[in-house]
Amino acid sequence: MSRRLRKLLGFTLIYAVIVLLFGALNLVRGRIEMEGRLSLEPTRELLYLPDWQVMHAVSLNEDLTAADLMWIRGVFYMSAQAFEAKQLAAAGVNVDAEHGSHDHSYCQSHLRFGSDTEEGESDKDEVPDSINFFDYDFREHPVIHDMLFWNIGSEDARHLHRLLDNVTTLDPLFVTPYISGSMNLALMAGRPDEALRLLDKGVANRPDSWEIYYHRGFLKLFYYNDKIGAAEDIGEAAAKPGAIPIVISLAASLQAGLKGPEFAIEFLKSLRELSGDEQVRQQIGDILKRYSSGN
Amino acid sequence: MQTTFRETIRNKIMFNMIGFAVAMLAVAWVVSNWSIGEPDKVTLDLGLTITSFAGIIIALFTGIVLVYGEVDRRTILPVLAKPVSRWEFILGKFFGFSGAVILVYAGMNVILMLLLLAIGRPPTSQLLLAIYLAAWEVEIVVALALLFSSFSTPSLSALYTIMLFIAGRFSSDIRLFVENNPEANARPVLEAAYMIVPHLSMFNLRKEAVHSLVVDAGTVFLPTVYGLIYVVLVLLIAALVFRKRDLA
Repeated sequence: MSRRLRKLLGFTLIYAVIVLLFGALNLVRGRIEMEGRLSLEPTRELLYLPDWQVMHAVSLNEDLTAADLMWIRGVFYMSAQAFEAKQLAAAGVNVDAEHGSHDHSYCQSHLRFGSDTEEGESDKDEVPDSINFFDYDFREHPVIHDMLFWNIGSEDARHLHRLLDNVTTLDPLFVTPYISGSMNLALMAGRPDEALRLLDKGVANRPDSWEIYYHRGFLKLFYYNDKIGAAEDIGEAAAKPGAIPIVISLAASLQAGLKGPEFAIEFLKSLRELSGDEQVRQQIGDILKRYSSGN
Repeated sequence: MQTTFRETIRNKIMFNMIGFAVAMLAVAWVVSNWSIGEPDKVTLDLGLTITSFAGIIIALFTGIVLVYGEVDRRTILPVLAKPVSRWEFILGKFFGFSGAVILVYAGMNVILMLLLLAIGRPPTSQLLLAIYLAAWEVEIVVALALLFSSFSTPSLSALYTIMLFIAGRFSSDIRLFVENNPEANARPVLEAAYMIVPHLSMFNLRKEAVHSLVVDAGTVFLPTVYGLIYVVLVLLIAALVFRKRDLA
């Protein structure tokens, strides 16, 4: 056999061995994945996330980056919870005792996960028009209760607040964890107290953020039936720069309901004066016209 | 100085780190999309951290062999045979090396700013100031690497520089410990350490850059003066140490 041919055979053999080893590697990996031993469930990993002091040290004082990486970890957990909620809603099954006694049949028929409800389907549990908003406790209504208390979270959800607290300690000015995290804590994990604590922290660190005030008002209104607190918070939200018109409208409605329409008109006038954006001033003007005309 | 600049620019470690940093910036952009809300904020955070660490690693791993390599290969002897004093040699090495490192660091930040523009977050003055102050942090690491390279082996130089860098990053924590533990036995040592380590936390303007906070002149001017004095001090010590070094 010539030297050149031997060299060629040698290289071919080496490449064949590399391909075979690569194939064997993937076979073994696939087998391990099938047996479910490759990694912990996303929810369980929350148990092992370090506290902010450790992240501060490990990241060599790069607190903002450490906060971002912890937040993304939290997003994975919350996404897993949302996916589980979607599956349960699609199946319409009752949750077992471990997750909380909660009927998901309303979720299946009314909540929209990308698909519309069927035509002709009537909303039998809709809130009747004649209810006095300010005398009514929405928590007692089965429809609203279903929307607000999913209680999907397992025992690991008790660590979600710790994660969010660590993220917001490392980066107190990061707004999204306060908002998305609190909604997850309240809706999915069934822990509105922790959600409120997180939003209180958000208000202290980011008093300029209308979204945090708005979400705190939402939480107080629907989870605690604290209409006065909700009106104050949503009113604060409406007064902040960047607040969207619907928040302004809602704030005015709450003020009108609690203190009378004249107060709502004065409230809207003061917002219009404070706003530096011409488009927002125009929108407030439109809402003001509706109140002034008695609609 | 020019020779050092050219040598540094052509260094393989430099190219590898630049490639790595650019790849990491791309990864940062991908990772930022996993965040619910404010992905541009996450991109900026990760991007600033990556460029800062890349600059420091380049400064560290090319700086530790800067003087040692020349002494080891005996290429320093023809240089010193000319009418070039030892302190001029050290200064030339510093300016050539730091010029190359800052050029590379600036290039990486230009890529970061292009990435930010592409995702709809135009650079702000706070971002430029944060990059400027982080460059001073890199300069301090350059000076320290040069100092240790002038009398020690590369591995020990790397160790000393890394230790001072880490201590510098946690200088505010050292102070906090000293204030909260007045009775501690190690207090005199910690106080001395606090005076010596570079206070690198004052060069960190990431929070202001990411959240567009107001930056006053003192926040930039005083760290600049501190960085300048610290670099000059380290170079003086390096010149003094190298003046007495036996090159045989």
